[in-house]
Amino acid sequence: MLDAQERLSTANAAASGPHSAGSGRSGWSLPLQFFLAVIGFITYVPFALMLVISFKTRAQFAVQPIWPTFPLHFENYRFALEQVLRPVLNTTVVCVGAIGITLFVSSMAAYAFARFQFPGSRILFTGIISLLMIPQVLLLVPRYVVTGQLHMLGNQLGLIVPYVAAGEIFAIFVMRTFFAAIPGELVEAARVDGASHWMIYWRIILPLSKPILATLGIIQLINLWNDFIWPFVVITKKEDYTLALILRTFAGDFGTQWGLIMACYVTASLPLLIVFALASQQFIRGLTAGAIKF
Amino acid sequence: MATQVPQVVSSRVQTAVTVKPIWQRIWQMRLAYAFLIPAFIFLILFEYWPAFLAMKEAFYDWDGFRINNFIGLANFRELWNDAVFRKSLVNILIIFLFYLTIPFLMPIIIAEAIFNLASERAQKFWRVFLLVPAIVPSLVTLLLWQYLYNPVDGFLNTLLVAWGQQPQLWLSSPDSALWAYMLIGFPWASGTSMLIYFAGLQNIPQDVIDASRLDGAGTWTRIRKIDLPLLMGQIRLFAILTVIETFQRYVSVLILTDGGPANATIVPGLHLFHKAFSGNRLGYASAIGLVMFAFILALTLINQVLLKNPDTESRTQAVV
Repeated sequence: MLDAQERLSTANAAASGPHSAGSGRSGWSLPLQFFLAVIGFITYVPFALMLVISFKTRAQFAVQPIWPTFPLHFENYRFALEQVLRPVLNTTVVCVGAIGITLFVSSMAAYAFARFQFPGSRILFTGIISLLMIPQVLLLVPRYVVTGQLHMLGNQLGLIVPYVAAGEIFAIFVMRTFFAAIPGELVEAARVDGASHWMIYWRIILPLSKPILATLGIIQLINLWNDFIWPFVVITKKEDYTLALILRTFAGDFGTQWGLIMACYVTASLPLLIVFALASQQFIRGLTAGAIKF
Repeated sequence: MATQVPQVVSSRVQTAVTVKPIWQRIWQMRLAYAFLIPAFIFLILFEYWPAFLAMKEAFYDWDGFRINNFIGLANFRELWNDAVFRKSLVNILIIFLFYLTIPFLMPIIIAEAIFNLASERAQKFWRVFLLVPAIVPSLVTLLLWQYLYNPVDGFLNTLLVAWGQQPQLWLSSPDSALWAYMLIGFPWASGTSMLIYFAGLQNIPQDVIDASRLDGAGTWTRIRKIDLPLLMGQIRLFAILTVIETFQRYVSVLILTDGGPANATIVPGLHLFHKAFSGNRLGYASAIGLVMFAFILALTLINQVLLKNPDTESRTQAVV
């Protein structure tokens, strides 16, 4: 297994951007700009098409499937909003629930690992880390059976609870390191003043850990927002559909009405783009750290 | 990493650790266990217990409900003769080898290209510009490619027809489906790996780069002799991630082709999924999962040996 700490520091370096302002500065700028422009153009073709087509009626698409046509049909978006709003709310409930519980229980566990020396702490911690090596595909089937045995299939709990378990592993690992690095004098001073461990955890450690909590929350958000397979096996009723589930139905349900389909895709992409716009630094940190965990 | 000791341990606790018998120490530290219990309830139910089940049930005939009979190695024997599984292994190997070529190199090339731009503002612009598509939900991107490949209305066939060419079936023909699937994401320039490579390049001390220039090394020499060796850590990281991710990949196949047409795009993870959720053969599916686990583990180890990095080696071992 890889050194996860090394990976996280790589991610932090990636997120913090050009502090050292290093550069090759080779004098090849012009051809390189051209190269990047070509690559960038090709990269954006699918997304540009999505945007252009999302304003078309069926007739406009039949005549001109590539370039914009006028008038633009904004009413496609009213339709899209109706389709997407409920799944977005469902997904938000699941994500907020799962992320909140994950951060809470993992920060408690990480506090125990970082601040207590108790019998079995090494074994328990290694046990958590070794879970990172088990591929998710191996766990899919037995997790499904366990979820069924606990009567959680077909409802949001069946999503939230397994998500918490899966998210905890990396979160505990990262937070333990972070908590251990918090200066000891701070905690000792509070102990002398008679603060309980719970108070120290709740009043000192957690407030100091806001940046790492935000990063871990974003990692979890990106993973869960995009997850398809687990809702696919757990959720049965259409009113409980998450965004990923509803997205897949559009192309089948609306046949060749590509304007409506694309408007739905655009609308479905907006929530994450908005989060990115509001907290881009946190988002990039979460994205890069999330990309390099298993 | 794992050997790191928490920095603060009150002196009272430390004396207790050395003197008292174990049950007394456990009782004294009961608060620590109380902090751990909530996290472990989740882990035991949805990580440890499923992991145990997956390994055990690979040797059982299991429907997840009533039938649960020990059948020894019968699942694995059947798997050995399973033509679909064999096909899925061939497919995943092709996909894996392909992903090690252009899709693997592209982020490095892009990072280098941006790194060699003269203006810092241009550097920042291109990094953000190429990152934004990665923030669109992955499923939307996948469905957009499904549209590009649509045989009737799709963009690619519209282009082909406009240029007077024959329209193609893309994902819908057994001959082209696997290639069409692998080309999804072209030109593989967007994403976080590019950012991580770029950060790696930025961590190269500027005086090293300046010195190489004074010594008369051109850009090309610098890339070969300085940049690439110093990026080995990241390259090794993404090589291992490519192994792990490619061999587990099946959700995108499920969405686009469901393994078809005629098993042209079947992959092991999807075969597992079909056996479990269409065939109700959960024991057999677990056996597939176990074999995949073994494959991934073996390839990760091979990768570690092939791309050995002396700097990080000792730390890596500490975690394992």
